[in-house]
Amino acid sequence: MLLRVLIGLGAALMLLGFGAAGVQYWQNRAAQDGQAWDGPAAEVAEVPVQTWLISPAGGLVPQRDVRAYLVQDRFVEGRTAVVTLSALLSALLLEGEKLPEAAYLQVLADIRAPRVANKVCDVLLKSIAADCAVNKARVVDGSVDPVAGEARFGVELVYRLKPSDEALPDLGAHVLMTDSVSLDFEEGAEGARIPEELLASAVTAAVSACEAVKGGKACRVMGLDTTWFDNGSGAVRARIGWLAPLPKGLIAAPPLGEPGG
Amino acid sequence: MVRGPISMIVVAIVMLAIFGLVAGGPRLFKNVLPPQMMAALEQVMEPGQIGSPPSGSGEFAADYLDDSSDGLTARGPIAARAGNEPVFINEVITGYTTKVSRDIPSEITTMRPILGCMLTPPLAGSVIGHVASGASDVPLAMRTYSDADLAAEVQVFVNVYRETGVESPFIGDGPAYEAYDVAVTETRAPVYLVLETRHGNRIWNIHLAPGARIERVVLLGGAQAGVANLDPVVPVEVILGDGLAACGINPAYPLNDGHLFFQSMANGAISVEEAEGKLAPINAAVDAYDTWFRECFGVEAVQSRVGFDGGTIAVIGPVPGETVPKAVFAPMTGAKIRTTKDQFFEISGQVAAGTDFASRVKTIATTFAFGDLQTLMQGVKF
Repeated sequence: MLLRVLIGLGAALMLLGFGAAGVQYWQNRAAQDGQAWDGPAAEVAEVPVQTWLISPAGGLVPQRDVRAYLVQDRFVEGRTAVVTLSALLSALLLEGEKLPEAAYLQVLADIRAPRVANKVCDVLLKSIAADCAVNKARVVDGSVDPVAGEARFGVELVYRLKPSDEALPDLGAHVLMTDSVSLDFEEGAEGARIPEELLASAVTAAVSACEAVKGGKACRVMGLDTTWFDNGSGAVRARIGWLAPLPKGLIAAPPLGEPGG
Repeated sequence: MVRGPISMIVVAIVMLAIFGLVAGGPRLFKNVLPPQMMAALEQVMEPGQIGSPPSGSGEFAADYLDDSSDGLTARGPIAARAGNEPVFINEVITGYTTKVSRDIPSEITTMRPILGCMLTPPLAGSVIGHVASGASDVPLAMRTYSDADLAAEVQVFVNVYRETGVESPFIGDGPAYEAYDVAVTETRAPVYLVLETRHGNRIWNIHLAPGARIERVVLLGGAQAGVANLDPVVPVEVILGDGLAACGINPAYPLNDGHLFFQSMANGAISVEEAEGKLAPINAAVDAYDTWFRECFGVEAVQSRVGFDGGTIAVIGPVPGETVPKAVFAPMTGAKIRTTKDQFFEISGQVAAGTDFASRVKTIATTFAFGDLQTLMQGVKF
């Protein structure tokens, strides 16, 4: 009797184990399928085999920055556009809906925060991005103003750049240079009337900064950060990266076992 | 072949269950275990049954009083008495228990806090019984909560869903009333009770010794407060925590001797000047509260206070002996309760389907998520 119980229990456990493994495989596969990019093949940027870059000081560039610069066939964690903005709570409602009691406004805003992010990706898609997605959208804690009927939201977009006509040079013979540009907009200033306009200003600032780079190749926008206030003021910060020839006397020593090394 | 993995799984399950029991308490298993097992678990986990061992032999009540940064905390079967000294519970009351989490009262009357800040003063010749206590960790089968409580739980539910992708099975029941027992052994004169709590919802359960009389009860502090087993003719006045704040009253007491502050002073981590600077505002707050308390009740709060920062029972009156009788425990089952309450009020087992705390939380979250909790999921897979 005991033996039967043990065998039965064992069989059930095996079934559970293999079942769980199967479900996991199926979920992973579904996730991979979901990740597959379905845009036109022409918009896939060249992805080099080399997965390391040299810093101007001769060391290795952190992998997060390497991926933010090099990997343009998919979204990566290090390449984001962070948009902090104020928005009316009524913008979160469906037609015919009313705002709930004041106690619920914070959690309502948090749950529906992605609605304020809907138009922000368009700015990047119309300018530098081949693809853009909202990675995170949350209400800023304690920012709900029930009297004014508005709140502040933090939106994090991920994007990948449109392919450039400029081919990447020999990565082993170049160093990755980075720089950032910041701009402040006074109340009512041109270029900051709405959050989307401020993000467009950030893109313009980044592109201009890239154009101003001398002696560099393949300048790319590695990150954007904008903060917009409802009085039409704001601030932007853009981070760019480009490849510059190895300084004289510097010799590239690729990490052991790295492809492209 | 099979026994090894099975044994490991059994051990893992047992370990997880013990961890859950210690971390979350017996209520974590409410939806899993049958009521009989839950009752047994709650008995084992009853306050005073487990915890730190006594500091001495356990022969004296003081052995069970912990003096630390958490304040004075009862770690065993002790009550607070005059002078805020410990006494064994069985020396002051008969039939005592903290197993009240399933007790259902027979009558609940809603009270409102008083308007303003002026309380009715005690009559001449009355004895002031002042209990000021922290958490008792003795939940009752009654809960009361507001939209703010629901909104906070919806946020927790949403956060868990975003992390795990599944509905949290641990929404909880909402803020329960905690019971705190007051044994009155004073029989020489009527007792004017001032019962003061800090946080949460509190029901003060009154247990009288034969011959004890209550003149009036004043409830101070807390989110909601009430009394159980009090004669219906005895008047009750309430100023809740937000009411005290609105009146500019800030209940304050000196730090206990075992507080980290004094340890830091002793080992030189805080200089004398720095300590004086930090103690000054505390002393000022204590003095201000003492003054208000004396004006209201004719005694000082610090001197009259009975009750630990953690404990379940306080005694007003002498410790019973040959001439003074013990108080008699009055159960919550069938008790008459007068209490303030928030927007929503529930008694376990008496809530219509879909209107309990957890159901409300799920409904609100789902409504805000446009009817589909999947919309809560965010994030790109990298």
